[in-house]
Amino acid sequence: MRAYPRIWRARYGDEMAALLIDDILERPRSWRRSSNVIASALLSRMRPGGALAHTLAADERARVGLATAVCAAGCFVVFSAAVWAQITVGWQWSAPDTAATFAGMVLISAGMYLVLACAAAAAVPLAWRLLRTVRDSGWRAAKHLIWPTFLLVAGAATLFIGGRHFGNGWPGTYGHPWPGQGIVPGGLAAFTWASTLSITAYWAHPSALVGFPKMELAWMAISPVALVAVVTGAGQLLRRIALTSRVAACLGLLLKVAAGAMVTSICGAWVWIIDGGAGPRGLFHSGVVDFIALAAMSLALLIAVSSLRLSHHHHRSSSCAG
Amino acid sequence: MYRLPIYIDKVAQSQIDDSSGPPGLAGLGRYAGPATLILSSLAGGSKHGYALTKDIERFAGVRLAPGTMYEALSRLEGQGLIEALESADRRRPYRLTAVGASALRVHLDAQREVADVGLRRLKESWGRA
Repeated sequence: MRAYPRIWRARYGDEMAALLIDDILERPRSWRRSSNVIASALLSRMRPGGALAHTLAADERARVGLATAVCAAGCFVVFSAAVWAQITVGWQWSAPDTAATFAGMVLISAGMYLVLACAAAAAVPLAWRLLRTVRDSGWRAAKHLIWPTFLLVAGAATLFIGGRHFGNGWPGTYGHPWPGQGIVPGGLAAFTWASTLSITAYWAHPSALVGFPKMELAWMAISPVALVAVVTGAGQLLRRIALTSRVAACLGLLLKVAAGAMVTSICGAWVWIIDGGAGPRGLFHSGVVDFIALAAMSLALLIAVSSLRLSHHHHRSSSCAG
Repeated sequence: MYRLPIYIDKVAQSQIDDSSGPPGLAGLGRYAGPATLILSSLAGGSKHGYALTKDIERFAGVRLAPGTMYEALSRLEGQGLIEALESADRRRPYRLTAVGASALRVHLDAQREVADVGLRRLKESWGRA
């Protein structure tokens, strides 16, 4: 039952536990029951409002839809950046030797730039609403916004400082004597690589991990926490801040553009993986971790689109009612 | 066999979308099958989760797993087709609402039409219904 979201447990936890107890008394062991409950709980976690969005009031549903879409887009950016960084770092050394990998790289880069531009554009109205809320009512009345703002700022600051520090230490990127050789600036490639250092196949090879510098290992443990803090902070802020219909519509539009960019990135990643253009010198080799990242990107895109539909449905209903 | 209820639900939904009648089971997606079983069970009176499981197993030969059961119950409740009743213990019973009864009727009528067509064609082509 702990696998279910809190909002679900608050509403259905007790009665579902009673059903489970009755069921277990009748059939003490059932792998089908266990797998069904776990799968159902995980699916609930992936849905806006813990699968209870349909029971929420219309404006709350729209807010939940937007917040979930932003969190999903954030997860997408993390995994996409990990894939992107791997090949942009490679390109600092040498260009890919197949046209398909070249095209895939261009598509991934275009998608990533667009998603990041959308994120930057979305931050403006969100920051404006935050400042207006604080100015109008003061921090004391807006104390419910302190924690998500702290998460967002602390996570972003940690990523910025750590990403810069570890990115600068990597000779293949910013520290390279010929930065800017690829289609992505060396500094950006290095920062992206360092920020997503934890998404690596090295976790499956502990003997290789042992040889890593201690600071780098510490960063591999801290950076995922910072990434989660940024995504969670942004999502919670959207849930808690009072959005005007214009700001909500603006965020919805940006998320739609971002969804298009995500599709572009996924197509680019597939082109690269299917092409299998590993050369030159294995710089563009794709592995199991890339498949896992691609699966996570696809899942995040699906969640973002379904959440957007939920919030779009509300806006359409509101405009029809208006 | 698993896909048939989904197909039937689409038929029912297309008919419902064109009418101004009750909303049917539109929007339940892959939970339309379990939802039909739950609504049919509740048509006979209010029941809690385990009683629903046993009743459905009795009349349909299908045992709904707890996760699927509560997923469908939450969707049905969200659409106002069923409502939860107060309960002294943790076994909270549910009952069919008037909207739920109309939706179930529309859905089952559509299912019956498909079944009638299938049986008639079987009789025409294979000689017996």
